[in-house]
Amino acid sequence: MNRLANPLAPRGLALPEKTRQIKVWVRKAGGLDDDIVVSVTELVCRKDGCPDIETVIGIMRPGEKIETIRVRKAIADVTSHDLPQGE
Amino acid sequence: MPLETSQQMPVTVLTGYLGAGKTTLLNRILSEQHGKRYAVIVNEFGEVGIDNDLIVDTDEEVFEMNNGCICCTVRGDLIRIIESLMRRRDRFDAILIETTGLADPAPVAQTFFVDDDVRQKTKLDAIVTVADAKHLLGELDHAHEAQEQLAFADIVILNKTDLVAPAELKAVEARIRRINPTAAIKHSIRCNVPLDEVLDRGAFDLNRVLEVEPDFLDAEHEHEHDDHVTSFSLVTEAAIDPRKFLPWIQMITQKFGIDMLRMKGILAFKGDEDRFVVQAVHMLLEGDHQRPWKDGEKRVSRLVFIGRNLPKGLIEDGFLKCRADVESVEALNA
Repeated sequence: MNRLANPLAPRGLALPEKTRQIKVWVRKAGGLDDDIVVSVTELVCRKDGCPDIETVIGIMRPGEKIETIRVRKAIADVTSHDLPQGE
Repeated sequence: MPLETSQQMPVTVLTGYLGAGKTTLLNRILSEQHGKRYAVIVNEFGEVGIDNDLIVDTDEEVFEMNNGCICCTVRGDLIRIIESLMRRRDRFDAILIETTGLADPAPVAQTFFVDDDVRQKTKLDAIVTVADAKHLLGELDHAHEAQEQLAFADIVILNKTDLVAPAELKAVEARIRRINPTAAIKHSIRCNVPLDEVLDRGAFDLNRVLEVEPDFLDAEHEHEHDDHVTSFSLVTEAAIDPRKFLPWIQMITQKFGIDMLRMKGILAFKGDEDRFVVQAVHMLLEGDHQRPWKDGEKRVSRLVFIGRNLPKGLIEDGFLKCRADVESVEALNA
């Protein structure tokens, strides 16, 4: 049988090298210490009203509310210019 | 890019209503000799009788990645703690997460499917829910959290069974089955279950989807309880057309995902020698070919839905329209 492309295939990781690069940009722009966790997630939401794809960056400072940066692009397309620049 | 599963640290989520026995089980896992070292994320530091730096307390911080969309909500504290723990990954073999009795299991589970860093380093092994046989029925009547913790479970440890009569125990088990027909139920006294029946189960592995045959104790479920969470199973022996089914299940997940707590299924596609399996947590849906149908194995397609007020009739109608022998393209109109 010729199988159809599987739209439900388990999602692989979105470009670990690029994710690491985005974290470097975020850390540099924000002057973040190593104890601050930066999470980078490519979000594909099926809900109506949510963008089809976006990159959500969480800056997790201990004891503080998570700061969120959203870029309405796939991780592969994010550039340093999409991120807030530091002082 | 497929994930290198051998490098992913297994994570067991331990949940259950207040006083059910989670801490008893946790202390057993930490103190018994079973050859595995655990890092433990707890919400009440003082309850665990063992003190070492691989026991981390947490604040159950919810991280809404997408402005309140329930399916894009994860646990920020877990992302942070796992990042920190994985810098010491040579010191342990697996992670245990204990949640409070009131915690919503969905953001915990979703953390392991949504966040890329967490997915790369860990894999959700199973959600284990400890239930108090003596008090569960009362809790289910009054607390939606208690129902949802059962709904999400891969394994239910029905604890304190010595405190109830056999007839009552049967009623409790029937109520659990009505909410979650696919979980493995283990009876225990002081959580004395063999630990190998709880740990390292691979319950979210697509290769093990519906390994526990769904158990609907009474097929038509006597509706004496107005449960917030219920379940149903759809079955057909007719081959399924993947061209109808794949878009249909995506549409159902999109439309009803907020109330669909878990869904699992095995499909027999027309002309396909391999079983196709699907599973979902809310809108997080995945599916893949699994293994060849065995000689003599009945090619039955089955979907099990666990959720809040899901429209069974409408979903069943759409599913049956996905049969290959049905001349219809209306499945998508569910």
